[in-house]
Amino acid sequence: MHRVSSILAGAAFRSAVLLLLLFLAVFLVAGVVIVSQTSSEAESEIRALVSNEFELFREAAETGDMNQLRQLVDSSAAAAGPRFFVVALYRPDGTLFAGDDIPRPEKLGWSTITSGVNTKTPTEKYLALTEDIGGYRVTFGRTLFFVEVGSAALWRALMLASIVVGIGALAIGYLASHGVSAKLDRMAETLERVARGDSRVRLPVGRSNDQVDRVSRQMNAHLDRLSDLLDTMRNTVISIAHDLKSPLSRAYILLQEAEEAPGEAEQTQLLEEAQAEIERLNGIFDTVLRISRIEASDDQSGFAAFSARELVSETLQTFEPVVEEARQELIEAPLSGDATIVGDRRMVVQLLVNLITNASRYSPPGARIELSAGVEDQHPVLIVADNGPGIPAERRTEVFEPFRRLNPERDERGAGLGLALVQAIATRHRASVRLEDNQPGLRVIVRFPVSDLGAAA
Amino acid sequence: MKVVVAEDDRTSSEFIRKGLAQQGHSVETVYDGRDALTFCLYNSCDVLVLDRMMPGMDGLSVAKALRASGRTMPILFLTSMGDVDDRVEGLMAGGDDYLVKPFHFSELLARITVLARRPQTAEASSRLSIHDLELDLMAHTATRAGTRIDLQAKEFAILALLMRNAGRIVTKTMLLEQVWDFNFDPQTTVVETHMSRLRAKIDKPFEVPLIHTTRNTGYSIHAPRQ
Repeated sequence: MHRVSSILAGAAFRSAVLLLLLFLAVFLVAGVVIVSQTSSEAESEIRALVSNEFELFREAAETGDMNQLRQLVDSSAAAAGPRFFVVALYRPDGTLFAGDDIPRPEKLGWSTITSGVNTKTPTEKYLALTEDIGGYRVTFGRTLFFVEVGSAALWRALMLASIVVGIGALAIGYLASHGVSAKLDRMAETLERVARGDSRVRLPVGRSNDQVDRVSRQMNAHLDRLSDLLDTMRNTVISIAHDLKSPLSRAYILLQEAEEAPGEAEQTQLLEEAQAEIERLNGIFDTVLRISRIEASDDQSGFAAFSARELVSETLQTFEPVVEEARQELIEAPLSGDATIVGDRRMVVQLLVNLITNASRYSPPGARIELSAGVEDQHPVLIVADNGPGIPAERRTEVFEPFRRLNPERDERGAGLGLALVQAIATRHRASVRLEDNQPGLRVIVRFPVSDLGAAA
Repeated sequence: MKVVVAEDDRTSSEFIRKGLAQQGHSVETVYDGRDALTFCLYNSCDVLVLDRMMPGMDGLSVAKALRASGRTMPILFLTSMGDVDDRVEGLMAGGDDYLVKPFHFSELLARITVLARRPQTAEASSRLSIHDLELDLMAHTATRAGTRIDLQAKEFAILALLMRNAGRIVTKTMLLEQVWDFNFDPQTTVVETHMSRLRAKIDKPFEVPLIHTTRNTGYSIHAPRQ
């Protein structure tokens, strides 16, 4: 029952009904026009016939002898069997002189007269012409029966056509709506399952590629993104819990030790260490918040154009001594052409700093880190390359996930958020991050979109 | 110095009040945005420490209202939101500085101290000098005891910032913000490294050190104290 009502409420059925109503209205108007046109043509045919007959009456009266006219009328009226005309001749005083006994028309000219139905005149309505010939009034009329029958037949044909068309349209509408309704029902069912927490189900997509299928396909893409996000979030929450617990428990232990420490110097030392752990915790929080904020917004209103090469040499000046302290080398390897990046300069600086920090942190002393800015297929690019251990090809995508460290047991310092933040900043700038083998080492290429603003600047 | 602390969290408020009082400042605490506005409209103070999220009236609105009624006291925003946009919003509303929670008390103190002196340093001077060290801001040159010292751009910027706030502590975060325009912690020894290079040029060749480190807090520059 619910099924039928939902089909009847479907858009396809509704539009079929609407079209049908419109069609019927047009059909009705057309029918009226056709029928009235046909009957008026038939009537003018009858008028022509009647006028011809009248010629005979006039000719008969031309001699002035009214008896001749009377004989003509009588012989016409006396024709055997039922006939389709009436004829009557009245004296000047108004009494019937010859022909059918029908009421004498008061008006001259065309009129519709009604005769009593009898064996001679089997129909009721006649189109008649009345004229005075030599003082005598003559009325001659032909039946309208065939015109009426014709109109009625036409009307019936038109009605039948509308009924057939109407039923057809409703059936087609119902079937179309049934198809769509079935798809929509499946859609609703699937979405309900998603709402209940099953993020793996997808909408069925038919082969017809209609609007519903296209919407389904789009919704499936959304569902894919949604379940990706859910998975990432689940992993992130677990990782956050794990990664925050360790510094938290270390701080907790340090505070307990400080409570029981014998000397003041020792106590201060332990308290400072606890504070450092809490700061580390806060740093992780800040970075996670920063990543989620950068990911959540798509606001590019604060973007401005700046030179990639200037950015690189400024960052180099700042970090060259820092890297040198780790007994590594940071140099600029110029690429061809200077590029203009359109973006949030501070964010891009952080991206670059994170890449340099990563390169330095995971490379041994004596390593060499190359920084460069340039143009690749017209795209502005920033490249950070090192000759450290690199990342195996099959693990290059997972390093962008938050809290992912390739060797967690060896690497205590990083929280595994550096590349996640790099990815977030790149995405905000519609830039791509590519990890390549530097033979040996890692080569990170951040490729920014070609921008009109950049070209103009 | 008189400091008004508008912060609705009683623990933080008490922590700040105690710390500032220990430093010999007089502190007035309010716990509601409207109280903060009323108090600052009818009383004078040297610095207003204003939490951004408060009941009654938020910090941004308080700052805007104060500026609209012509109050010029320095305002330091406290916030748990450390994002660039929030920072810009705070400064646009009439704030003079911005500190993200949680913070070291020494960081807050350093910033309050710098803020309270700001009006005097506003008069643009093209030359700064401490003891026998001279800095020409126009010519970008540094000389000590008559000897010209070659400084890199960032080293010069650090030295200028320290000398503008001579005698006061400039924290690591303040240096990152003002010299490098970093609104994030680069997790490396950027400040320490550049500071040690600067010291190698400014202090090492001479007998009297001028740049001093305050442990866990920051740096200050001042003439030797007798």
